[in-house]
Amino acid sequence: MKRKLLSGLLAVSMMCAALTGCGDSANAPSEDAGTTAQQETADGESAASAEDDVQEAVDYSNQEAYTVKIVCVGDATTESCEEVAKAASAITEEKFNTTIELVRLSYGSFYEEVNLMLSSGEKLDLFPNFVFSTITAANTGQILPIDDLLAEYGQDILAAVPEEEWLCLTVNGEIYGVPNDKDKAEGFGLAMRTDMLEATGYDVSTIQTEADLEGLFAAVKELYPDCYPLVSDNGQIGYSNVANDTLGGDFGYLENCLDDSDDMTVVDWYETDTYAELVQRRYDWAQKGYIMPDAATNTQNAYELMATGKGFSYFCNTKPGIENEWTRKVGVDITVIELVEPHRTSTTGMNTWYIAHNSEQPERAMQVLNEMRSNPELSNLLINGIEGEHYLVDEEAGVLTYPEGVDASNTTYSSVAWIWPNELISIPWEADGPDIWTQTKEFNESAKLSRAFGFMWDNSDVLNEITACNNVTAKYKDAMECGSLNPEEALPKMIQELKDAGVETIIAEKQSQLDAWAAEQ
Amino acid sequence: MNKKKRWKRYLPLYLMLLPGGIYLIINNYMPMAGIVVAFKKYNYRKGIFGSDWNGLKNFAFLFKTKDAWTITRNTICYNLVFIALGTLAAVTVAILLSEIRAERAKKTYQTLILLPFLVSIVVVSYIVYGFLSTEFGYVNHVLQNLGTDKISWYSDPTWWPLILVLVNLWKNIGYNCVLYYATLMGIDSSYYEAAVVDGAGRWQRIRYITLPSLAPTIIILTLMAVSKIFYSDFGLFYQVPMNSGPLIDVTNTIDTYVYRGLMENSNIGMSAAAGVYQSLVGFVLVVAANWIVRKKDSQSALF
Repeated sequence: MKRKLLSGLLAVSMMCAALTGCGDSANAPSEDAGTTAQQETADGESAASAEDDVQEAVDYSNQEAYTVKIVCVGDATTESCEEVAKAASAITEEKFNTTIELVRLSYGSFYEEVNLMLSSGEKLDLFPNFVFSTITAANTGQILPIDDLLAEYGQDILAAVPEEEWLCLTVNGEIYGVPNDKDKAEGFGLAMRTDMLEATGYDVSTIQTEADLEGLFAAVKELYPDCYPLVSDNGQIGYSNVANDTLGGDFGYLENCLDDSDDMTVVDWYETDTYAELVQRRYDWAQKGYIMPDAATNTQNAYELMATGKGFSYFCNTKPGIENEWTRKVGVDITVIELVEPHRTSTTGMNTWYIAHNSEQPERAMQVLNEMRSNPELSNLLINGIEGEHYLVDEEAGVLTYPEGVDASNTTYSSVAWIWPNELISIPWEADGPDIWTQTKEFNESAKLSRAFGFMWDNSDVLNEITACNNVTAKYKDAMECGSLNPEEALPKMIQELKDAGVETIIAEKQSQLDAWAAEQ
Repeated sequence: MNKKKRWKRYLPLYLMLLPGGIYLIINNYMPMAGIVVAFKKYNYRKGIFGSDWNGLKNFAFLFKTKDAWTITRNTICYNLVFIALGTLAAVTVAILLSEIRAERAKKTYQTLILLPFLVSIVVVSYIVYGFLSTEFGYVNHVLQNLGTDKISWYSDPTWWPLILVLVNLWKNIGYNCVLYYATLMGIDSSYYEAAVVDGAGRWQRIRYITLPSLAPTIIILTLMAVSKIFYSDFGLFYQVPMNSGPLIDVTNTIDTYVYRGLMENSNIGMSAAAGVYQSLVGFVLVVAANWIVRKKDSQSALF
């Protein structure tokens, strides 16, 4: 009897253990969120009508408690993220009764991890685009349209963002993201270790294009035989150093989008002579030892390789303060030279924040996003961390410095300003100088515009073709651009396989959309 | 009454079955509803059941591309080679082990052979990288000393079928041979004694006693392997080649294709279509393999 009882108990306890594992999953209260949203809207409307009189009339501090989970990129320890989240919560709790949970993921794993959160329905409210494409994320429903939320809770954002930027984030007539306030134009350049560059004594003023780099790489290779003149970043060299307009991404680009012609022909970038030259050059460089071997399977960041002296240089975007940003990242002095002048297309420099489709209360996420973009204190906190621990303020000059014993290489909360909604209201670093944000604004205004600026393409009808073409480029693109594959064999194969996968359908679709857009202009 | 008594008697056993049963239902049966995703234009916001129907478009597109053929060929061919070589090697090693008389040596060898099976595939991928890294790899080092050119292993697909087969053999031989070895231990030693008395040599004893005794185990294990021929070891095909693009033609299997579709392209519909295709063909294969075995030797059939 006793034994029977025991076995019965054992069985029950095992069952309980098995059952507890699957308790509170998948009951995302989409309906609840819907009703609260409606309620909020109702409340908000009455408030909005009185808005003209008192701007700050709406008091959100009595809402029920909610936690907004923010996932961002950049290196930071969990402890530091928790500290920053705690300090940020102090601001948002007072205003919105909202707590903030902050997770920062490394550059290499950000896309996959966020993708997993989106498909598994794990809690997630706000995340930056980083490597996400707005158009695909919107068309697959990974992110929410935010028109209503913006009107309701994003007044500061609406007031600050110029009209043409909304156009770049509009898919099927709805807005899907909030653009960061930052450098909006994009030039391309090469970031090099200053110490090595000076040791070679090479005159970089003659360098205008990527092809001109050959002499410099030869000089570096000769002086430092154990160092790779050009490294890859997580298995990619993701810069082609030409002024193309990707027309919203995927396949089919507008070549030389800055020159004066009015040619609106969408071309398969991989079929162009420019691309053929590019990959041939990279292959030659790899053969000569200018590009690291196994560049396409390298799992390290370029800046890590440069920090250890294994690498001399990597390509980068150019903007005011880029040398200091890289110096902070690498931990040694960095020089940047420009290869392509700053320019703007609909997607360049468009770093964006999204509200995840699995956000339980999107309106609360929008409140926080609005605050992140407009509150200097909160913005600075999220970008630079905790005062005294991650930075010190030099009140006189109005800049930040590192505390004793802390520097770029060992900080527990790395400062990556541009990825956050508004770097222009954060306190600049001493190395960048106090007027860096003024320079950034000038940089944006002076940049050349692409002929197709403002055009965003809608890929919803050709998603399967895009997947098939992505599967083709996954095979060849990175490896060829890293110089690991001989383009004489690989390039014709890739072009043919892309055709088989339907790239022409994609390009025809894009062309017709672009023509329609151009006719409206 | 009798029935009730029996029910009562077996109740604890049924209860013990419950956790496993629930696990199976939650993990293996409930997700089956997700098959509908393969027929939908999946939208994260609308969810699995809310997304718009897409008919057979996902399948049509999957089979229109070269990928469908590549992943099917890779999955089946690799598995066939793994089954053939794996069985041969495991049986050989098991017999060799059983012939070793020194107990301590036997235990040592057994452990050493089993060790790779316990190593995480991610670690294995770096061990392989240690051999094949273009600049510091052991193999290229040897090649250079022999006066041959270095090979850029991770961008040249030529050798990868061989490399993957070797890695798989090395990793799994220990586990497979344990199963055969256990069967060998169960063979009545009087057979061997009688054979020795009759003057049978070592080879004859293996040929006429050991192998026939092993046959049922070999059939069962092969049958189980054949039924899984449409499923591949994800780690082996994704981690070991370090997800290198130029190798995709020879390393892409159905499982890695589904993973890539999900993680890199966010095209869940097409991934699901590939998954359904895998399940359907896999199911047919299980039934077919079992049918064949039942014809030949009904004792060894699974069902």
